Amino acid sequence: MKPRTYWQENLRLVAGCLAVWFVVSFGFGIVLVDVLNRIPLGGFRLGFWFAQQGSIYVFLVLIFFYAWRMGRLDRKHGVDEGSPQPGSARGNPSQERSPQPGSARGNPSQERSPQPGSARGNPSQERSPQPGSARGNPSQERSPQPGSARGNPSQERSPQPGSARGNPSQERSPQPGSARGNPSQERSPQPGSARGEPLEDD
Amino acid sequence: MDLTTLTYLVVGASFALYIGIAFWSRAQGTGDFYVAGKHVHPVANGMATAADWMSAASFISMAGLIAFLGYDGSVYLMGWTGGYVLLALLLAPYLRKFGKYTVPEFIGERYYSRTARVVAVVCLIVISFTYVAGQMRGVGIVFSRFLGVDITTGLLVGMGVVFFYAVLGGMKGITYTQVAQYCVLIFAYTVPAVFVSLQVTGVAIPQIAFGSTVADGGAWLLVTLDRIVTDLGFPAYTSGTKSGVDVFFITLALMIGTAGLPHVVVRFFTVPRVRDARSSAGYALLFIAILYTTAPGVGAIARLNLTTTMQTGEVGAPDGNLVYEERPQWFRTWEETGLLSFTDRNGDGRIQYYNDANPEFAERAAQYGWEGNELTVDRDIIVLANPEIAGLPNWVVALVAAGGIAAALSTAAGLLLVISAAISHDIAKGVLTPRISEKRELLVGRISAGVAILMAGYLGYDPPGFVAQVVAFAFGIAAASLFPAILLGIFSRRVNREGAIVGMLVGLVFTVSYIVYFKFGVDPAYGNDPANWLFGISPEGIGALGAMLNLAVAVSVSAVTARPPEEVRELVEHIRIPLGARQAPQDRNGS
Repeated sequence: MKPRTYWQENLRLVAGCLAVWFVVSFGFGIVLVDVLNRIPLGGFRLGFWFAQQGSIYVFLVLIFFYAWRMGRLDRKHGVDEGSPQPGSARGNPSQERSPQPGSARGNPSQERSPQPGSARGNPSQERSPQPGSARGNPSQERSPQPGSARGNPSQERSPQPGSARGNPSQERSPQPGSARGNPSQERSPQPGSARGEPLEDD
Repeated sequence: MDLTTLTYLVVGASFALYIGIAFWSRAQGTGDFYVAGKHVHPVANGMATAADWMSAASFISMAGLIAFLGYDGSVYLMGWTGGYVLLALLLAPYLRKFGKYTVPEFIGERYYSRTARVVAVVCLIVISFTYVAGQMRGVGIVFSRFLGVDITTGLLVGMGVVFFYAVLGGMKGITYTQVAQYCVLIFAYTVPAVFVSLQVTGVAIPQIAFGSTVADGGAWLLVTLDRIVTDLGFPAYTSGTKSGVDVFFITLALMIGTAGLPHVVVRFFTVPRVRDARSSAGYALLFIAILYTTAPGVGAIARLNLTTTMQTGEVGAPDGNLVYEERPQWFRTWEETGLLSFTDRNGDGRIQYYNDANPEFAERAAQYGWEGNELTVDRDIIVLANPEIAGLPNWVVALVAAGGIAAALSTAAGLLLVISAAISHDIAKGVLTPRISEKRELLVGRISAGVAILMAGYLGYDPPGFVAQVVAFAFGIAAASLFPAILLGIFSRRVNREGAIVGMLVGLVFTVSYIVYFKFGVDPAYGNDPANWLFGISPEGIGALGAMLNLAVAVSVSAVTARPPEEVRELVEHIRIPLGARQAPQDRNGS
């Protein structure tokens, strides 16, 4: 089986979660409520319980489940926020804060300069730090087939700011077959490696 | 200590706390002002989102609404929580990765169009003002009811407090204040609920209590409740009266609307990382669910309490109803507020509380010598009178007052902030004077927050007659305009400027005209009646259809017009992966 891309796997996960979301609320709580109401659950009738209690509990579980699975998926594909700078201890809040105070003040001034007068000057400027990667990978630029939200399989990692950041170990690797292998080394201590990705890949 | 003094003390102490927090966390720059510098811990952000989201309506009115609607009240429970699933899965992480400050800013950049941005600002302002007027009104009412000051004074004090911390602290001040407000409001809500549950069922947890047996009778509470209310001609509590289609669409409209409300969406711009945005939505729902799963328990128990208090014996028996002179103390207290009133229609000195709108039962009631329902109950009583009905000490009553004010203030502040950010960041900086310095932008933000507070205060003081009718507007517009535009902006690379703008306008115009048509009775011959509704969808649920229309139009128009430019497709790729989110501010430095 061909390895699925990060975005495709994400869409799949989202679709699955939304199916559950729909079934417990609209299905059990509304459409099937009369049928389920014939089943008692303690002092509740099941359909009524889903409408007023059960669906909310399921929603909660769904969000945390999605967050957990996406965390795993991010690491598997090497797109989680911990990866770009080797020096960054993830989960170290002090480090997280450090860029802020200065940027809070400094950043708008700089934001103003590059887009004289145009609201649309923005996007280009937003992406400017990674022009190299975006442009350097034409195959992926071309692909945006009309209408396909997921079409673009090879690209996921490439238009990354990570490259601008100079994290060569991971940017270099995208040779054809290595779609998923490459990041794993970076993350070996992570649960993501439980996948058994080929560590020797790089 | 008497109740009024105690209430002053508790409410005063909570205000001191909010102001103290606001002073400690005042905003240093626009980053702090709009998105709290993007370093709010996801749990704290979850609490703040919960307080932001749960308004005076959730705190004061929802349990009462459910008590009187029964199963039909489920639309609010599912609708206002299910939206968080959409947020967490479809919007929050990507908008966080986008890394800017406002919702219109995203729409403007994704659709490379100032027009799109302005359309989004207009939607945002209409939604937020509709909402905020209700909050200020709520503040005034809580003040007048518990502190004995008139509504105007109450409003002015409330405005003063919000002014202080929203203008000074911006998003940062609001966020940390909301964390405190959440603690106050959830404590105030659950304490009386636990005691009432204990009294009626012997089970302390309201979520379980209303599925338990009544303490003395031994029968299931909901079964008892169904029997008691149907005996009096009301529809059964656990089955609804609305059509399935309508329930479906209202729930969907509330879910989509929730996910598209700008003051909720913007909360997910404040966390440090993309994965925090995902988990933060979960924490937000967790904190919201504590109240939202308690409310139906409170509602069911209150309905049972209220009905059995009035109907003391067998229905139709001459001595089956409560003698007015023997009414309990809480009844007298709330009679004074006018929220509870009794008219002795048949002059027997007893309270007949039944459904006289049910012709079949009204006929039978006439045989009993009843001449119409004699009790009118305002829904808001259910939560506010809960501690008194349960006979709880005065400090709990005072706490409920502080909780109601916290719920209203926290929501008002969040709304005012998105309004001011839209004006200073999207209009002043984005459209009018892009070269504005940060200092001035911050000043414009503070001034517009101040002006918004004054306008909201005025709307709360002198609400236009239609405020109640336009509540459906906020959700309908959010669902039909903003949500689809954001969604397509993330999940489609192909939808372009033309598609998004036309889509938003079609969704907006369709939804607004449908609501106006039915809610304001444009054509008296064609009234707000299920028989006249499109597909049987009420104005409350039409936003869901508006959203679908928006999606369909946006996709079709995009298909026949030019593709978005290259850099916009790159932007979409960029926001789809978390990598690099924290570096966003520095990235810009490099340009």
